[in-house]
Amino acid sequence: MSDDSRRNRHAAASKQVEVEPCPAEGEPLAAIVAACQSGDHTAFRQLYDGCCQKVFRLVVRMVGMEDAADVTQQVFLQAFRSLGQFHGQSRFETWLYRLTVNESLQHLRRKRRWKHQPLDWEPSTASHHEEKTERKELLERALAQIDPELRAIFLLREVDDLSYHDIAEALQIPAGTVGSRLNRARRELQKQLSQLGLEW
Amino acid sequence: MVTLSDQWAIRANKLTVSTTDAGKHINMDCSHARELLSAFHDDEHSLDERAAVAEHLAGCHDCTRELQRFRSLSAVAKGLVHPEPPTDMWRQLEEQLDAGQASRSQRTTIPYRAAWTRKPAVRLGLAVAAAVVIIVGWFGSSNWSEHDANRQVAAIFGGFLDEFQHDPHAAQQELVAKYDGQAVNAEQAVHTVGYRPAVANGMPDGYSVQTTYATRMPCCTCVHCLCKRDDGTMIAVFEHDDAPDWFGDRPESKAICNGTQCSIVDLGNRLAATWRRGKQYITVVGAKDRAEIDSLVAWFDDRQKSPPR
Repeated sequence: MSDDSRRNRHAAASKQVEVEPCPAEGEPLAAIVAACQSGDHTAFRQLYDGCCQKVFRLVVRMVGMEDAADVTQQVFLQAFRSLGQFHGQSRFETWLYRLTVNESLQHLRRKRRWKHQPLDWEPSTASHHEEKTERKELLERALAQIDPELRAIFLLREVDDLSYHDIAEALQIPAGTVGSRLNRARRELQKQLSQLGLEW
Repeated sequence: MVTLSDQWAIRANKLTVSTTDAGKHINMDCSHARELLSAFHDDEHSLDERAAVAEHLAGCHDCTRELQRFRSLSAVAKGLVHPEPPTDMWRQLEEQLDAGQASRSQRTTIPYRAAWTRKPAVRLGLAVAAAVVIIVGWFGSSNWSEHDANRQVAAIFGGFLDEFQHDPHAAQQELVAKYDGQAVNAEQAVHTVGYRPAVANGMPDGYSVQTTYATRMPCCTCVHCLCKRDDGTMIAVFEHDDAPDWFGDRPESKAICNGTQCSIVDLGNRLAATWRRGKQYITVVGAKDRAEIDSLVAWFDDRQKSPPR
């Protein structure tokens, strides 16, 4: 979703906005979830195929590349185990994001990578030194440095394009606090970027 | 006309409101504008607030500069290159599901089970032979077993135990969030778990029940209760169908408490204890000492024999 399309929405913080659904090949996600809940084997694969990219890209930036595959598998294991408890009280994507963030944060706690122990972010394989590439790499490094909960909220907004309402549901926080937490996340990132030598 | 939100803002000295021929005019100071900056940038404001922030920005270089930094940050974030998931991740996941399926109890309500129980025997054989502990990050070589699934639960419960020492309520809420807990009273708990939980009969003098949840943990649905002692400290009481394997590698010992065999785990400055009560198990977390465990075992045992009317 582009910035313009997002800004064209006149919305209060508590609004509900359609979350871009996990892509499913020719079948609504809700139908796939329902099929999974009734034990359809092929539906599990469809659900995985439809959502694994979104889950993986969030996990990678939450826990680092080294552990990302393992944690992503944990997310899907947990999702498959808990599908019977999903009754549509929220959007499935939001529910899956909640599992993803929870598993990632739990993983970081277990590895004691919390608070003062930032991730070791591996640099991208791109070797050319264009300014834009450098800024992206510095942002990756800055993201790896900040508090994991701030990292999560920034990623859900900027990468996954969730509305404040859906972020609040995914993180189980009051909708009214999303803006202030994003303020903190953005300011922390700017501080880190400044320490890494990037100024705007 | 000054709205209720304006009145609040005025009281908070954040806004000044003046009336002109054009109607209501809201002046916003920097501290308020900064609080609302992300919502402004993300278009998550009401129209009134948006207009007020925009007007402030028109006259404030510092806030405008900060907004510009937010926009630059967003622009870079939008251009991030996202790694692709490993191509064989589904195969890895499938094997873990098979391994877990082969060893999980019949009581677990996973819709996935119906499909995977029909897998060929060769997959069950592979699952039985697999006994590798998950090596974090080494996704190409690990396979799941029930042992590994239990280790995962132990790791998650370990997080609960760590948090419980500092903030018992937060620790409970983490479990509730993780395992889709629902706040329940005694009657609701009966409906959820199929039995009347022990805490429904009350707690001994000196304890008061704070919050009770039915929490769908991997082993079974637990009734999870947080109780406060008269001195303000907390103890958690779990009631569950299966013997727990939640404590990982923490030191554990067996003891007879009030004539009942208990498993006692050393948590450092507190104890956890599990014992069988009828068809269920009770686990307490945060007991001060053996004497407290003895008295709780005695209390629940007595209540089981002579439930209050």
